Amino acid sequence: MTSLRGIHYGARVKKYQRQSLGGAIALSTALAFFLVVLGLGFIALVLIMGAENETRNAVDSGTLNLGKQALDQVSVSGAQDPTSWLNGVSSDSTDSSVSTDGNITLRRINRLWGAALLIAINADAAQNDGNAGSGESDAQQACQQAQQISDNLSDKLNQASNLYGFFTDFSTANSVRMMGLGTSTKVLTGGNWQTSLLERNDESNLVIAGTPPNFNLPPNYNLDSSVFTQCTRSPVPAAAANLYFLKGYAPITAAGQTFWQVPYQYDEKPHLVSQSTFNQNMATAIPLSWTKPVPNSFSAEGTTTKTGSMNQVASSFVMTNPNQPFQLSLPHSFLHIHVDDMKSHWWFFPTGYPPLELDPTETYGYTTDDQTNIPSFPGGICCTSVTPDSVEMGLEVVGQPLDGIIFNYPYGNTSQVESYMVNRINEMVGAVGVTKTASDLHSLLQDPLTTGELIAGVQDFYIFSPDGQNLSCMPEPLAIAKSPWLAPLISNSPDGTENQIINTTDPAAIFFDPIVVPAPFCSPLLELGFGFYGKIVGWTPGTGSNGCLGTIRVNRWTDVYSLGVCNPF
Amino acid sequence: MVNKNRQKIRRTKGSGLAEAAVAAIVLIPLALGMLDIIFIVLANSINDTACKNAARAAANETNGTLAMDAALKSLNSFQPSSIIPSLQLVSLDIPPTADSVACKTKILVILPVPVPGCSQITFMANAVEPIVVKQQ
Repeated sequence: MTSLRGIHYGARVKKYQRQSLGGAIALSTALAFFLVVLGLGFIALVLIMGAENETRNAVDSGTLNLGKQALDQVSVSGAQDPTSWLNGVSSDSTDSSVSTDGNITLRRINRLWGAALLIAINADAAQNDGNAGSGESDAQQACQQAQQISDNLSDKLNQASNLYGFFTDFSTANSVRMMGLGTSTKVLTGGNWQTSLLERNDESNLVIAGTPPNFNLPPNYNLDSSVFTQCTRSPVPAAAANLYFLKGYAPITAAGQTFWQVPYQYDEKPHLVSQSTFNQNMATAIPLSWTKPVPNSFSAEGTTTKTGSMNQVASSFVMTNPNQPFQLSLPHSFLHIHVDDMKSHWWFFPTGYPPLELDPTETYGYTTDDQTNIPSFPGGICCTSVTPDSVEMGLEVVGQPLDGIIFNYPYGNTSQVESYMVNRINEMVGAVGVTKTASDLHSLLQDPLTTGELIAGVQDFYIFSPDGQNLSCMPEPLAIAKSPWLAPLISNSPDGTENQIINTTDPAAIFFDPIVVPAPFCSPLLELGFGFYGKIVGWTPGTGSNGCLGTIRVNRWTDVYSLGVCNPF
Repeated sequence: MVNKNRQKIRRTKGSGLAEAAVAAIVLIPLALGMLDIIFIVLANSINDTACKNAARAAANETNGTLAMDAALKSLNSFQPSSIIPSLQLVSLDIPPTADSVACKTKILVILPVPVPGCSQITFMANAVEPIVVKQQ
């Protein structure tokens, strides 16, 4: 028989069993649930972190492409006119023969400002010499033209919608599969699409040929040290060791105007930069006196496109760089050389002194020519008439190339003429690192072809660079045939006024006996014929705003003196 | 009576152990499976990063040969392990326009907790980067 104690004990055991069974199941279930939740949560966290990484990669890629494409794909027009100095800089090539498209981009912006600066420098130099003419006003107009185009480009680059496409091209090409299949990274429009002005006062991509402070600029014009620099990279690339550049985001003043450059460190590529660097250099953080600075850095923001879930957002910052230097130059420009007709002047001494030019002038050429003239009455002291004998003209120019016509006897201040011409030929050359010396100038002008052309009667020659590197000196038809861009420019005159740098006469190898007819009751006492060579070289500076960098005018003549003295006793 | 109750107690204690074992059969694979999934996700992340780095390195070179060398060099920093024994460059494509580099990498993952019939998995990653230097 079961005792009461046993029944109670059994009941407690059964209760205990029921309690144990229920606890184990509940605990297991709870643990499983907890484990699943924890695991899924951890997986989700890892997926989100991975998605964040992928989004950042996609945004970086899109932003890098934005920095690259903004250099060339965002452009403004305004340089199509082939008669304008602007046209020559609307090209990515320093070769003047490469056709231009009339557009200005981030790659070319420094060429534009540089050319305008060179026009202003030419005007200032001419002003210092006192023969600027309309150069200063032309320089101001050139600066305004550059400013207008630059402002338009700045506006376009600061309009974020112009850049979205460059970003999306690459952001969507990179998968964000951890967010789910079909998810991609697209533009997130808003206030995080900004621009910045990095590397202030570092070098631009515009090289200045020559050595400081003159840099092959007009004689007696020096660049202030605050506007140029050498390469600021550390270490300096070997190719840049001896190069000088205009500074970026630093005002450059000339002709009363302010010019600008955008800094691009030498041999750098578009690259990502940190947010702090970007923000610290924004125009709003550190303003420039440049009203509408052209930016060299951009920020972009992208977001993933998965509907119905938390999307990732990422920003990136890029500094662009064309990785292409140019040289400070006026690509479509020329130097004009004009040679006046050579004349012979016939002088007599009817009253003793001073001599008087009594006979008509005659013209001679680049081959020798025996000339004489009509008798002069009375022509000399106690003379009835004096008639110059045959004189051989052209001895000083026969067989000379253009170089001899300009620089040979009679000499004068040829070094100053040479300085102006060397300066101008350097302003035509756009190939980086190429400089032209006086030796190059004389080699150019000593071309034997110019001798034949002078003999043929050519009086106008044009020095220009057909390829941005070499020089040519040709008459107009040949020059235009070689460089068609010259056609609308070649008839332009320089905007300065002429300054006679050389005005000299020197004895000539002319000796003869004039024919003296004495006055009645007089007898010849002295019959002397001699000559002088004269030369004027005038320099009319041109700023280059219309393509013409200046005109060298050469005027040669021969003075023939016939001295006749008769004795009345 | 007491002996019968004691027998019942012993049977109850034994069933608890069995229940724990059954629970473990469910919970442990679950946990290990999640571990596998976590490793898979991390490996994919490594693959994505390596692929991006390879593409970025290649995009900074001036010709295809240098680009390939740069991409391979960027993958040299990967250290094989028992879970990820290999990470390889599968392809590096530069289109005729030479404006971008498309890189593809492959990663082999040996699951820390082998799954029957699926002890190792291969994953691919793609990255496209713009070329920022002039091509020669």
